[in-house]
Amino acid sequence: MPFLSQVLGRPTLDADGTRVGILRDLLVSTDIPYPPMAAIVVGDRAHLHAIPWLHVASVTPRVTALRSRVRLEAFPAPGEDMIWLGRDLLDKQIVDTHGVKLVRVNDLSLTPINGDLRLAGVDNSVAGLLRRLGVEWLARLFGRGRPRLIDWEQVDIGPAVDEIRLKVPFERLRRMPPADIGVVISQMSPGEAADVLEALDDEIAADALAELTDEHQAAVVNAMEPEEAADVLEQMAPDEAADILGDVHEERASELMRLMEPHTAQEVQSLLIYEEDTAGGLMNSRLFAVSEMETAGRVLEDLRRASPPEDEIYYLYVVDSGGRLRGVLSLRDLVVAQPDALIADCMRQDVAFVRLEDSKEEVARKLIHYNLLAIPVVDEHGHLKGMVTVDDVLDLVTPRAWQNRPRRMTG
Amino acid sequence: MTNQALRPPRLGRPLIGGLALLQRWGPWQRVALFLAVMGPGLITGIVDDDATGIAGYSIAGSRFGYKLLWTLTLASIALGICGEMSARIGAVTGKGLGEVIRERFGVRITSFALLVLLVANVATTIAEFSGIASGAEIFGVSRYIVVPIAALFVFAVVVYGTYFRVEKVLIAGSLVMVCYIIAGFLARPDWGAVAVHSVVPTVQANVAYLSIMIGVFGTTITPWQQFYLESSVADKGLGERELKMERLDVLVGAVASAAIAFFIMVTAAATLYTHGEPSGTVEEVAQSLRPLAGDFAANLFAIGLINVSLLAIAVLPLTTAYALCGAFGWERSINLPLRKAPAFFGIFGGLILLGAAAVLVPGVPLLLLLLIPNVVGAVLLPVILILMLIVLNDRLIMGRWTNSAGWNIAAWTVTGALIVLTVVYAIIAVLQATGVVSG
Repeated sequence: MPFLSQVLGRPTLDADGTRVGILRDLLVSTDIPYPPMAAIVVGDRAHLHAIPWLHVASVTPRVTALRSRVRLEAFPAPGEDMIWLGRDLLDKQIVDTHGVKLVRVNDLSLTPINGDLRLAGVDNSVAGLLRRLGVEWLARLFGRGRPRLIDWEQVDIGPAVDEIRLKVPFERLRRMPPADIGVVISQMSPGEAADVLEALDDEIAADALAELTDEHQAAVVNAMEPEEAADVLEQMAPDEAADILGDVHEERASELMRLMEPHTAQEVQSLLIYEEDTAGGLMNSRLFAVSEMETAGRVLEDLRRASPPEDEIYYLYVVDSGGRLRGVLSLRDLVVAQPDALIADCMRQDVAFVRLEDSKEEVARKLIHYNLLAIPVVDEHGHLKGMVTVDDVLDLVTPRAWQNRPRRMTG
Repeated sequence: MTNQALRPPRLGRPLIGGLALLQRWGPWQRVALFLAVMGPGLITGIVDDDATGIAGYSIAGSRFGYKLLWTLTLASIALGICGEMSARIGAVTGKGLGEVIRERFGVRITSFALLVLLVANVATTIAEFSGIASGAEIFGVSRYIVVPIAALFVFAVVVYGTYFRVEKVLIAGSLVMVCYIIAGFLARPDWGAVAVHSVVPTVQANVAYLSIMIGVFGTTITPWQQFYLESSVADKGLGERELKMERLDVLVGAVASAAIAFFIMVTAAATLYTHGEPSGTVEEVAQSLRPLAGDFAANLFAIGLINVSLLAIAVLPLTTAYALCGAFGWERSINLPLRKAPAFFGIFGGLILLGAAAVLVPGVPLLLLLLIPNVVGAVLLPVILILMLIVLNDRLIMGRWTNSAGWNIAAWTVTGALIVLTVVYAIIAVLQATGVVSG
């Protein structure tokens, strides 16, 4: 089972044993599982030529042998429609979707199967690094001789290869849960993370972006194409979008808001005026408020039509005709109520709330004290302005050890 | 909340991202954008005048008066050219320089370049701690108190800080460097001679002059700068859109760096050289300021030295750990427990520990420690610059930001000149060591 680094740079001989050139690279088409080599790239003094696999007898760490006598000049220069294992993948970073991390390709392992030579796995171990340096015995000396291979079917090579040559960029990364995508891109530089997010669906990209730290979010949004960044921000909860826009520089923020849907931009804009670590800055202004004069049946119907996301209807907040907070209703209360019952009659009036200017600590304290998933935010006149959900203050209510997230530094 | 200005019709994608937008902006918006982008270039420029730099400029000024001022003009041009190239690689690739080198040149060249970087940076970190020791001793405080405190302080800032906060601390620290400009004026130099020697080159064909002249170039342009500047541009998420502003940042940094170096050299010249005491350790420059320009000037000189050494200790080990871990694919987050990122913490902590411990060994020759990094760095620099130039001419990596013919001429001239200087420096060092000539 040879490694790529062992076969590259070796002489290529034809059927007569005449040396035709040096093996420079191997080409595969990655849309096949464990892709077989499609061609080899052989270089003479001046040029590279792609020889189709059917002419190849064997590729070994000593020599590459061809089946017949060939004239190297007869073969064309290698094209750009396939992946060059050496040039495109070796030394590059790819995603280990099983280990949920970014790994650097120290070597690639190749397996002969029925006359084909197939790409089997990625070696990212120290042993691979030492093999490349020509001192593999050092690894054996320290008992680390066995390479650590990542199965080829578990990696996504998107970060290493430019998107045009992949039929579906980030094919396997896409299938990961957004939270895991977030973990992977948190290990990337802002530019690479931006590439990934631009290729994903806006909704998934928004969820993944939400997983990053504040500074990294701002840097990634900075690195994205403005149009794409605006589309992703639109998919985020307005409070999260406002947090990010508060961290990027002002010109970029206003450029992005111009590109967003006017309605969403306005919601975000209204949140930007609050201090970051107050209830106003934390809250989501998008919520499903219920009028106290409605009937339960009517509200249920509205809910069905609007189908708001789960975290906006942990609780239904009840307001009067002036928009002042009057009470709260759970989904259960609503479902068990008679369809013609007035909301004012089935709501609970003793609703816990916080004010716009309350600190994050105060919000967290009340959420914990009343054991709530969300708490409404009101202004000085009692008008309902938004709500803070428990995940907005998660860093204050979970033990610190759980929050360890890879963070980038620089330098 | 109906702000009409915020809601013009949806625009198409600007031609070259923000650049098209930039042209529509008024001057104040451009200033605001510059302030947001500013940082990597400025910090690189300031930290450039680190402990080894200050030592080099002090010696140059005290031995040869104003005669070497012209080298600073050339050095700052070279600094600007190298900085622009680093910034451009960072903005276009979005990756750290260690990673870029690994991806373009493979394991062997990367291992060589980064091993030499590690050695150079160990030496430089030791030099920075000795800068702190010297600075503290000008105030009469023992190094055994100050050096451990500095090591802990830097460790804490990096472990508990994030880059954006660290950068703000660094920029604030940079402002302290105005100290040197004030000290320069307090030393009352002969401004006429200063002006002449700044632009008119003087060349003396003796070993001491040549080796000190090369030393000035060596401390001005260092390998770690390229790594730091490149990575911090990439990690700030600055892209091609912000490149124009980032170039301005690099230019400001290069000018600031040269200005500070200029005033240090002028101060040393106006004090030690004028009064015929051409020895020129940093302490001597500071102490010589006391009778001539007062305690205030001497203290400013020492504060500047401690400050920039601290900045450099924050930047150097981090740059090293970051470059190595990036290139070899090791976990490099500073927010993970130690056992999960052993390589990162090992390199980072090891450098700080080694640097601090080295200067606490009794009887250690500080001046020598200050000069070693210049030599190691001078050897590595051409290697790094050549690797960078190959990257900059690789269309597959740089796309439309590939070096133009003009830039290539300028860059190869700088690289070639530095290689020649390095070779001459090495020859002089060998001749001195074998006793053929005396310096």
